[in-house]
Amino acid sequence: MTGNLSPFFIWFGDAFLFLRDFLVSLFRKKFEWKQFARQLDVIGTGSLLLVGISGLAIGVVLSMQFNATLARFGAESLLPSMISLSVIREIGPIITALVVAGRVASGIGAELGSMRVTEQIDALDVSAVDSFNFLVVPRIVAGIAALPLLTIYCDFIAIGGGYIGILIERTITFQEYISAAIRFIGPDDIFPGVLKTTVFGFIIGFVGSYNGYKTTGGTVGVGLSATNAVVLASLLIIVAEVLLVKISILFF
Amino acid sequence: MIELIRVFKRFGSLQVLNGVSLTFRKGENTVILGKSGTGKSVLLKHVVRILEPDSGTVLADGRDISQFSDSELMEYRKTLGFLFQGAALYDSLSVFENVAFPLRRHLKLTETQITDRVTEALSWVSLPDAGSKMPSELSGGMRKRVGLARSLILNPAVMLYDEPTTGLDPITSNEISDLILKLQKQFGTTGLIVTHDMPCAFKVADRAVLLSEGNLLYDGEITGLEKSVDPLVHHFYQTSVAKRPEQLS
Ligand SMILES: Nc1ncnc2c1ncn2[C@@H]1O[C@H](COP(=O)(O)OP(=O)(O)OP(=O)(O)O)[C@@H](O)[C@H]1O
Ligand SMILES: [Mg+2]
Repeated sequence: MTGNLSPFFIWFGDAFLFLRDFLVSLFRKKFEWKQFARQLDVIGTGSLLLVGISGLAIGVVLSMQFNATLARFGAESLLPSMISLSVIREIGPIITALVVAGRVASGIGAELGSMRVTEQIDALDVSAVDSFNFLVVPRIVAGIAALPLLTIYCDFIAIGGGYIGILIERTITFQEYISAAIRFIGPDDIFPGVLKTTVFGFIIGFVGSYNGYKTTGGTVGVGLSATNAVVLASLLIIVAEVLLVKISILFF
Repeated sequence: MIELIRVFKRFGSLQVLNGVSLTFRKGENTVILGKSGTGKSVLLKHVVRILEPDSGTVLADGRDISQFSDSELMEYRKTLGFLFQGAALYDSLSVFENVAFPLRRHLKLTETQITDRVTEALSWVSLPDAGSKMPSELSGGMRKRVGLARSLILNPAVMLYDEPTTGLDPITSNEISDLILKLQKQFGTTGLIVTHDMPCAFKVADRAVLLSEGNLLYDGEITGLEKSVDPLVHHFYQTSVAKRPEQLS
């Protein structure tokens, strides 16, 4: 009767149950600190290089773009503020989230997926270890914790990249640049930007874990889980970004 | 004691278990025979509740395991050891850490005690020096034996072996059969042994069941298989044993 829509509703219902299991495990069961620390290292430390390079490149590009635009109005002095504001409010969070989604959501999807199809998850359960609480909860929480930190790191590097971009056009000392960059920055610019990345981190951990943990269909299934995890996580991040920008405009 | 009562299980259109009723008695080694794909692994997974029956009941010491709370299920599983057909070693952990994993999770032991027990378990499966290797560096037969060491490390009351000797040479195979017997003798371990390896089956079995098309075709002494008048049982016996007659003892 429901035709082509029924798989979608089944998926949605299933994801909802997965979310409920996550919340129940998180608040009712013993938190696996060791696994959390390991995942924080994998997600956080492991993404430093990638996030750093992306942040630097974006900073340079933004700087050159803005410079050209502002020059038309003779407003070059605003360039450092433009860079820091757009990096801190939008570009840093979204770039970090998308780059980390590509690396981490697929990584989690593939890792948990192959653990599923080789029965390692069943092996955990049989040896009286709650596989969900052991594997899924620490990954999602590590995603939530890692993203704000990575975003702050990305912001710094991107603003640094902005300086490099300016140097291509004209000379300005680093001190001058930084003091101009932070002049108009207040807590209401920093907090929404950094806080919303916890939502992105949740999406990355959740979508990666959900796809991986529910993998069926052998090695082919593992590949699909990894791919679907990146696609879905990136999509949800962009949708969430739209909603969060709307919300943050209302509240800040 | 573990009882399956009229257990049905289907995957999509495939009826795998078709009302199986079967009792595993304490301290007894039951060998489960049957053609590839008849549902032997599926049956074992019902005993540990990785799979749940569509209908029917699994009882452990008289209690319906589907009614267990989370913590009861955990306690129940701590009394079980499960050797997976594919070994299911944790890829990210070394052989030593794989075997030590249940110890670390469930017992408070010192590092020396853990080392002692892991070393002992690895020597039982004739892999005393493999501890530092990663699972990806092992052969199929070695993985299987590490899986065995891991599943018996907590001295479970019930051991479920899914093809403990496949991929092993006859000599190592025989050692594993001896180990299964030793666990039974020394600790009174109940054994559920799925195998295609007839020498092993004959060696360890107190009893044999033959599974076919989701039902029991035979349940009794393993030596009785030969005398069965059921043509299917007879055929199974002839073809299984005829393969390697020289190894039977
Ligand atoms: N999770 C599952 N989803 C779908 N079908 C399954 C699943 N597990 C098992 N099956 C199917 O159930 C049937 C029985 O599988 P099972 O693994 O129990 O066979 P087996 O008797 O152990 O065979 P073998 O001796 O080859 O190990 C097979 O046809 C298999 O395809
Ligand atoms: Mg099998």
